[in-house]
Amino acid sequence: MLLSPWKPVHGGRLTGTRTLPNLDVRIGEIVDGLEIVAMRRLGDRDDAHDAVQETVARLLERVRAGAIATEEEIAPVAWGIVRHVIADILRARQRRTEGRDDVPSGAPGPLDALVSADEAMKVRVALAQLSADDRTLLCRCFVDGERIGRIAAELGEPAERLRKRKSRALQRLAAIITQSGARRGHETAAAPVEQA
Amino acid sequence: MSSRWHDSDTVAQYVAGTLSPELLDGFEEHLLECDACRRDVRLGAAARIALREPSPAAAPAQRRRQPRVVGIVAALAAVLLVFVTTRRAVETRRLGAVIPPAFVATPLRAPTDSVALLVDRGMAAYAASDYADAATLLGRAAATDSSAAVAFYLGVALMLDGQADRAVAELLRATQPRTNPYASDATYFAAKALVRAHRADSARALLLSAVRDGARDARLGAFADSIARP
Repeated sequence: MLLSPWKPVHGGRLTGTRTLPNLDVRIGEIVDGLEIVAMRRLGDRDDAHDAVQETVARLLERVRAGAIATEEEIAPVAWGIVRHVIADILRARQRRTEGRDDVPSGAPGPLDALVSADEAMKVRVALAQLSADDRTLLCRCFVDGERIGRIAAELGEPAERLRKRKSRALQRLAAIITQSGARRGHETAAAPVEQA
Repeated sequence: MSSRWHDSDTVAQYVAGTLSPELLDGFEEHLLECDACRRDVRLGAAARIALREPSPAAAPAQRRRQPRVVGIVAALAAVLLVFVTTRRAVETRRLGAVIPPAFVATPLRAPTDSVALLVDRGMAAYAASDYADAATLLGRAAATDSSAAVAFYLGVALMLDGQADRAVAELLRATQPRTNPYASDATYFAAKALVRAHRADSARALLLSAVRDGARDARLGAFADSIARP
């Protein structure tokens, strides 16, 4: 886990409180997504961790209160909660900065903290094994945020060909990282696959 | 689970921070349920960090190659001149490319004076990507409001409106004092504006100076490195 591992809040055990099947498994999956969302929106590891913990605490309260009837409702409810929790944290931050409401939200790499130094190093090594063209393509996609269609038009290449190149580059990257043991255990099963 | 989000452009733009606000909420809600997208986001975030940093392997590819014209006939030299000029223009465009910093207004109270109202209207224009209007309104506000926030967004709006020289002045103003929350972003965007104003050397010097002064923004060093040395 790249952020601090999720722990049941208030020291409680999920098995003692759950009222839905697979609740702890589902929450474990959702926490992974909550981390990403909170990190991007807050740009701060500690705040993101607090947001995830608070969201899970509120989610469990709702489960205990019987407000969530099925497993399928967990993610949408968690989504609604985390947005409120993040808004609360941002409001508190504004109060600390004397009411400023316009601090740039496009801070450099708000997702950077999702990646450990060790993992970043392994990715760097893996990237060096890709061709310069593939690195440039990944850079234009993941750093500059350019769409494949636009890059393809500029290079005069079919977009589908570039999509496949990008997909292959990502697959190679994932494979190299997996071989070097950089990925987390449950993530080593499959390389990312491009989907239309 | 909707498959509409299983698009590599969406993941890449999310990681790069350029996914449109209309799509952000939907994609993040989808992330809570999609293991494949979460995995791609994490992989992309890791790749982004590595790709942003100057790498010995990547550096030679980024350097502008100087065409050798020795012994080439005049006609070919003219063709090469056009080629080099075009290439420089492409390089300037590439280095000067910016992703406008996001602005999400969270009003705490209604504006109480005309300057605050001007700032609000200017930022509304900015948020709507109407940079010409934003530059005009924020420029009027800046006559009274000397805050780094106004100078920063005014500078970015001017740059995106094609007024690079004026943008440089405002963005440099927003870099002071170094402790203000806009200082680092303002330095980065001032360098972008300098590149757009065909002053790449000054951009590089500004970035390196900020790094020497202890700026901790990784973008500054990386951008300085990507600007070819004179």
